[in-house]
Amino acid sequence: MKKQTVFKILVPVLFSFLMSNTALAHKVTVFAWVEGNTVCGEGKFSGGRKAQGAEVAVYDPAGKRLLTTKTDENGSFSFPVPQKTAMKIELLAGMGHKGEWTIPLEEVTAAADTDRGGERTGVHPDAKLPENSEKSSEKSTDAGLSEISAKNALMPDLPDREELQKMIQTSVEKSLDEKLKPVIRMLADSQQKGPALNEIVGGIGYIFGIMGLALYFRAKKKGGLPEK
Amino acid sequence: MHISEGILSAPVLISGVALAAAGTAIGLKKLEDQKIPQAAILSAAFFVASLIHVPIGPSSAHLILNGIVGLLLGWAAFPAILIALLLQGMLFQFGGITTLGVNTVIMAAPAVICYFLFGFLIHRNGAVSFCASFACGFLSVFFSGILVGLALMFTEENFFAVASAVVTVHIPIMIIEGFVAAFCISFLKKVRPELLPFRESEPIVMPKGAQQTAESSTL
Repeated sequence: MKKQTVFKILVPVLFSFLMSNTALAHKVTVFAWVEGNTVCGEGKFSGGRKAQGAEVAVYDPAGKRLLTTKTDENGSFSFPVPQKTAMKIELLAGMGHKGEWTIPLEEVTAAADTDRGGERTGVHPDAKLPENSEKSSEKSTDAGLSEISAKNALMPDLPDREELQKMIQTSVEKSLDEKLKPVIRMLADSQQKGPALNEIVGGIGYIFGIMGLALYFRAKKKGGLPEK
Repeated sequence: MHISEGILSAPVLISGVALAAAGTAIGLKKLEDQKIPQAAILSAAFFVASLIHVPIGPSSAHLILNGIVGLLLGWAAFPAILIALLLQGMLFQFGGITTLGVNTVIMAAPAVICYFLFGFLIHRNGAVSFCASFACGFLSVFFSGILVGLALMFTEENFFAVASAVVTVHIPIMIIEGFVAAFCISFLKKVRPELLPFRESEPIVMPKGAQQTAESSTL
């Protein structure tokens, strides 16, 4: 009897340890993405409620804490990229609720590269202030004309093709970021979806399966299944 | 109520596993064959109850139903809740696998405590029975909150803050569960009194259908 009891406890426990990789996510979920030079994210409970005022801790791959912040009343948070490393974001929603999200290195470096480009383009308007004013005055006259003249005016600004390529790349990535925002949000929402029907029904099925097993073993122990 | 992985320290986790294992062993020993289907049904109810969220308060609280599970199963609440929590962890990612022991103790221990505190009262007349089962549903959630505070005390170092936060979040849950338990018990008393514990204390008038099933199960 005792042996069987121990067996009955041990088997699910061992099984669950094998499955623990799939069960690393938690009741509170975090989803974070890199937007330019900032990391944005959201924390949600499994019921769809936002995790408000929850603590957010950011770690590098070595486990060093880089910074901490808090979620606002919408459950979202953002912080500047502290370092060009992969980041592990932990959300502590209190009462033993914790969620994790990892931002891979590629995502951070890609964003950081475009950001460097962005800074460069950001410098340009200041340096060439008179041209800017010229442009704006031309805009009021004629669209086609201003385009041509703007091109002419811009030409001397672009010493080589590389610079131009970088500028184009930056603006493309910026507009892509803008355009992809809703998609990323959708992704975040789907990441934080609650349990599906098949999981619920499956769980109930497991419980009744276990019941069947328990009844079977009990009946067997008593000396065979009862005859009708 | 489910404590996530990576929060508790190893000693708390290990003692949780030890307590849960002890409770489960006692529960399995005390679980009569006729009660296995009932335990499974209650386990399934517990499993699904956690999906019913009550959107009140800053956190996210859901039904627990450990009071009614404990009241009807006694010590067998431990294996029933353990299995339900294991499946919740695996399928819904509620709680976690390493915290399974602690979570089992958090939910099952109050259930057993309430069973011994109020179980013998449910066969009294209407009002007393109603109050006892309400208190059972109400207090088992309350004790669970206290246990969450105890478990987190060693990491967050503020027992009263955590425990009171958990309890306040769960006040609506406690009231709902109190009523669920009360109505369940009064319903079962009318329809299936043989399912209730402590029935030796009073003579039971079995309804016809119940008598038949009782006879067939003894055969």
